[in-house]
Amino acid sequence: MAEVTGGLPASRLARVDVEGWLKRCLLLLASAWLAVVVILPLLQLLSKSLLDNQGNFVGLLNYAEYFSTPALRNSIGNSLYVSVATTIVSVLLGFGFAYALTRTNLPGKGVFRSIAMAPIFTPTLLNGIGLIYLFGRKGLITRGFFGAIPGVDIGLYGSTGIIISEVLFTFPQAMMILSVALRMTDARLYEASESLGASRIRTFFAVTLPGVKYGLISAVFVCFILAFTDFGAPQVVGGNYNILATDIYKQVIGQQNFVMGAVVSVVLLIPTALAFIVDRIAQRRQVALIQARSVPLVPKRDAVLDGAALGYCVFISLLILGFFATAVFASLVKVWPYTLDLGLWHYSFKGTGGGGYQALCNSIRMALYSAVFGTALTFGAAYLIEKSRGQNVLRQASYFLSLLPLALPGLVIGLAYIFFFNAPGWDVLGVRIPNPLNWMYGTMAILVLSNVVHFYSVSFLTATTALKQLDREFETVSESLGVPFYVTFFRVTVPVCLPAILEVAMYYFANSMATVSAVIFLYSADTPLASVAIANMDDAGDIAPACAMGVLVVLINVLVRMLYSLLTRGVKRRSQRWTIR
Amino acid sequence: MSTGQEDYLRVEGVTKRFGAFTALDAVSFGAAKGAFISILGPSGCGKTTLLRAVAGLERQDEGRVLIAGQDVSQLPVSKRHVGIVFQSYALFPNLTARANVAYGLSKNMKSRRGVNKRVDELLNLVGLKNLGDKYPGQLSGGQQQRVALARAMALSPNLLLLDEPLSALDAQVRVMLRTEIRDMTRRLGLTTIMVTHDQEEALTMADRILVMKDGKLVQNGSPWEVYDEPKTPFVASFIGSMNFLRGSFNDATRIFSKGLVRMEVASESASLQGSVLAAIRPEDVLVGVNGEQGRNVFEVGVRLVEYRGPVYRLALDLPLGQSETAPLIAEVPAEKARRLRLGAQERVKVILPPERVRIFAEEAV
Repeated sequence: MAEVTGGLPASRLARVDVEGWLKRCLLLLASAWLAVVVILPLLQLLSKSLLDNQGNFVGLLNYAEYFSTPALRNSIGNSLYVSVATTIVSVLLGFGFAYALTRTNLPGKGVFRSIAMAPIFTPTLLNGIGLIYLFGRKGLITRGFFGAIPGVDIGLYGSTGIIISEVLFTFPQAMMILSVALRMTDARLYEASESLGASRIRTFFAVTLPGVKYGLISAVFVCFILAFTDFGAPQVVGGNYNILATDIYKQVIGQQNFVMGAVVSVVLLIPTALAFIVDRIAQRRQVALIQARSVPLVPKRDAVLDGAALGYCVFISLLILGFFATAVFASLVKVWPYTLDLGLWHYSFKGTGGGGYQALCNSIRMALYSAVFGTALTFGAAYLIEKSRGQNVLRQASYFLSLLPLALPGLVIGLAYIFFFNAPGWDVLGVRIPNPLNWMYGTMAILVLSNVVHFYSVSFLTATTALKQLDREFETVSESLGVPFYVTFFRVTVPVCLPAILEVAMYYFANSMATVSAVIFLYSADTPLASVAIANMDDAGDIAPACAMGVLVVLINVLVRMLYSLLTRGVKRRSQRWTIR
Repeated sequence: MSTGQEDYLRVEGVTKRFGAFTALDAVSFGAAKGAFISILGPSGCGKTTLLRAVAGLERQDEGRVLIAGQDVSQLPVSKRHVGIVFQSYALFPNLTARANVAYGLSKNMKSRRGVNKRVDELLNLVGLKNLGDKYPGQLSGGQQQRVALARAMALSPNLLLLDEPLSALDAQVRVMLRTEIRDMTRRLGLTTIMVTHDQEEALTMADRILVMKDGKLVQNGSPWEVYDEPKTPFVASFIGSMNFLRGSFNDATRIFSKGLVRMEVASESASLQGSVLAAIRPEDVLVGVNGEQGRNVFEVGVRLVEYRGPVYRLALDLPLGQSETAPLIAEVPAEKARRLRLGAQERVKVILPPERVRIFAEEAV
């Protein structure tokens, strides 16, 4: 058959399909990039946990030491306890809110949704600080509104404080996942159930719950991962209650024990990775549940249910607003709780550590860079993976690598990056390889890179979803017309996906502003950051300035968010004219 | 198989496998310049894969593809000069109809005026003169289809490939576009291959129909051949409907027999002996002949009369023995059915004309 097939000699073949090769190379590059910034640092972290402080291989000795030290070992139980408690509360509250938003005739759904989403823009450190002003020793509730009414002390410091902060942090996530799941339903199922004479309760258990099963699973594991790996809130309100995330920080920053930091990181990584795997499986099943021809459900009027939904949403919204109001108020008060004069004293950041406005500017710069580079990289990689033909192995490998960062806690990324980028070089099979990325250590570049990787997966999934909605044949058509794929990428793919691209950029920006976990290991004296400043000022007892800095971060994120809405509206009007019939 | 040297397009022994699955199994055919070829078959038969192999979107594992005498087997789609229209049209939603049509032109033509002139020509060709500034989302399905067609024609392709181009349209628009597309390709002398699962589309539009099943080319013939002289029971039942009766055949006497039924066969068919399938189309069954004693006259029971507008469809029972019957479907023009006052539970006589009865070697239908 070889004679029949071989129409052209191999040399000409190679010249013919230049574009195919270009695409393949780019795909390879995208995978290689992820391997370098995700896999290699992780390996470095893993190997560090198997060495002693002098760099000699000691096997699992460090782990043995870890598990024989009660102070360290106990943190595992503590971490699991606060995360599970957070998950239960968050998912229940989130389900109620999502149900009200999707399945009732609640008035002002947009307003309620925006309020519920607000904590997403907040550094978790501020969650803790706000709670201190509410429930701390001199808190508003503890002192009964400055003595106006009898106070209640809930014993904030410790697990209680951590759980409340984490619920505030994870509630929007649970709410978002569950409203997507609740919206994806088929009205015909409810009509069938009703026509068969089933009661509302029965319908709820027979149709509603099974329909959102995978959404629920996903919400549970996302909340768990977030609470399990968060560092900000426990750092502020944890008190003497040790959890894994704060242990890593204490080992590395407090005791300079990098080896034990690596060990705790690996311990933190295992449940997170497991939760990640379960979540991915659930997500895949959820997608399969949706049918193309589903009929959207329109909630029926029901005075009792609608009233209950309104009451519930008002209650939750007031709690969230009350929290933010307290934080803003506290940041403006001269000396809490003694001198209640309002002013901008704490916004000068004079006489406090952390870097003040320079840190804030740095954070904004870092968030901008992360948004620009992160969006370009994620969208480009998602495009190559989604829109290339063939190369299935390479595409699947890249896809897996792109989702992997979702399983990595920020602290683990931060610590792994210290090890990887700080290493002067490696001895591989007796050959010394100098570290070509060593220059990045201590610069803005490494901060941006850590953010790009930390928030890569969610952005990647957003981009992939948007790309999947494009006709598979766009690439084929332009190929048949002799137009190179990169022209079509810029002329068609990018403009059509612009809303998703802006959403990804927005996500990168807001998270980079608020995050503290990865960057707290990576910032340097030249690159102070707002979120790190909050942690440091809080640590030094300057709670009011810390609170003020937190409020500023939220303010910037809200402003950027508003700018984003304006922009998307403008973009929709101009570049998405074609969507208007 | 007509793979003569004069063929403009030649596909020779093309085989394509996806893992263990053979999507195309040594498919060969040819098409004269300007011919309209239709590839017809049930879903999963490999018809789209064949089109994609011709286009260069799938690289065949074996065999070759020649266009205008040139072996293009190893060329990517961009070098084969083919215009493709997809089922979904794949119009770029953010570009106007004009910009869509001009998409491949801008690179190949130097002047802007040249591009504009060509786009006007193409829009005229597909009858969308005044709609060039609309976005695809503002056009109807039929109009979108025309834009896709104009875009595929922009670079004056050697070959026009249509992948189920009409299946997303309303029945009436579909019928209208059928004629228009056929007129256009005829006028331009454009060699065209269209994949479809709609037999009526294939019968009305194509010069030749390729019927495929399980990755194999089962029959390659004119619409008339494929319908009136199907090569296999599969082709016979896939295009139009067909009554089948299993029985034995004596080639010497040309008599088919099954139980009480003895039937003369006068159509041309390969010499077969023993166990066979006899086949006749429902419209060839002549119903309501009284007192005729001629050849192949049978008395049958009427089980069901179904009104279908222009025709009545009768479900008949052909007696094979004491109580055994074989189902037989007949189609009677409405006018004749009204005259005969056909009703269920009656008995009528039918003729199965010997020249319309075909014999096939037994095979799974």
